Amino acid sequence: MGNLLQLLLRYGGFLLFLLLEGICFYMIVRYNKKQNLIFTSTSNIFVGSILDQYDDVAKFIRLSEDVDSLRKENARLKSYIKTELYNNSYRLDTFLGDSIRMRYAYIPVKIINNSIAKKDNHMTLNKGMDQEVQKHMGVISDRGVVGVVKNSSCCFSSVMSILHRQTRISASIRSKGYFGSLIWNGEDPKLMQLNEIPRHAEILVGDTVETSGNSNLFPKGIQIGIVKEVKRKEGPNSFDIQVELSNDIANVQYGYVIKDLMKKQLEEAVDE
Amino acid sequence: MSNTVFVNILRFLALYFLQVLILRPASIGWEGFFYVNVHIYPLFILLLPLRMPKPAMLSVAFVMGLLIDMFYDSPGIHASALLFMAYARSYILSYLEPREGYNVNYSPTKKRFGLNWFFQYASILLALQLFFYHSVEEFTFVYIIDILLKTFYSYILSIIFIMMVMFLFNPTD
Repeated sequence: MGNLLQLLLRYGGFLLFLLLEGICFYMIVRYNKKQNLIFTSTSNIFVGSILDQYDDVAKFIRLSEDVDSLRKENARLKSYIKTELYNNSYRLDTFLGDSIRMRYAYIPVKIINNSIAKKDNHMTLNKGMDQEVQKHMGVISDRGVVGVVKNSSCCFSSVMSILHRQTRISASIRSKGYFGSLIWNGEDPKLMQLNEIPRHAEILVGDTVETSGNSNLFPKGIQIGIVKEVKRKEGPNSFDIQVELSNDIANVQYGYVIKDLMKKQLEEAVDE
Repeated sequence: MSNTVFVNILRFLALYFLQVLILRPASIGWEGFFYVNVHIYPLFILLLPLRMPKPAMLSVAFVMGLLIDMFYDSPGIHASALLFMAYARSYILSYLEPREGYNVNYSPTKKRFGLNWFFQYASILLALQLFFYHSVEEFTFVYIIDILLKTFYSYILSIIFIMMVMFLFNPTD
């Protein structure tokens, strides 16, 4: 208290000056039209720029949240795409709400571990059994096929990358319908080989290779890559087709696990 | 003592009414000649006694500025400028301090300290007051040229008026 008094005595004049000037400026800005206009517009510019910068920072902080919610939305929308629905109608002219059923559900995942350098590559996902990620589910990214789930624990799952020598993905040539099986020879991570294409098929460089939908791992029509090279040869494999992958496994970060909602029904039918 | 107070009150009233009743209508009446704005009232602050404590001086300046503002219809503008001048007064006084120091019973007048000293004293503080006044009046330094021109023209006229008053009355305190 004594210190405060001393302070007041010493700087009293200055403090009073500041106080009275403050009152003056308040009155100037409050009661004078011109000064008021200048003050408000200037402070608007100032406050505006501060808020702008704050907003930029806040946006950046929110970014991962936003990405997450967008990906959930994406997954929801993907399951509504018409070609991936199961058509329930038994007459062609039926158009009722329950004539189509959802066939595939998508679970957004993040790829937290990945490799491409080995002959048999694996990945790890940040979702597991708790999020209904289970064995034998396909994994895709926004640009193509990524792999197949091999194993899952409560919170993580392990994926056999398509860059694995045991990969067999049922693939077809878009709009031609010939299907074969896609394998990887363990060499170039951008190239895969398409086998078992019938001898009479006409394959051209530049044809699009997509999932055939013959297995229940992937719905039909997901792009895998483009035919880069076609060579005819003797033997059971009549073609030597090199497919350039449309997604780069080396930098894939986000993906979707595909859950077939009718897996059980399909298996029952096939087993009998 | 009471004599000084009485003289100052009288001076306050005289300068105040001279400013608001005669000089204000005059500067408004000169159509198109916007730069001229004669300020005679700072003379009151200039002539306050040397021994007057700073807070009292600031309060007096604040009140006088507000009273002037009432007539000019510009709340706070004259007051802030006069307040600034009153605050600067003690620094200018110590800057202009004669070798033998001040006699605290005196007031800073022409008769006590001489024409040369008083002219320096008055012109520095008046320039500060006018510059502050015109800056606040424009309220932006975008028009710094306007501010300086206005300050210059009103400074010339104001200093002439102030010196005239000093020569006419030549007060001791």
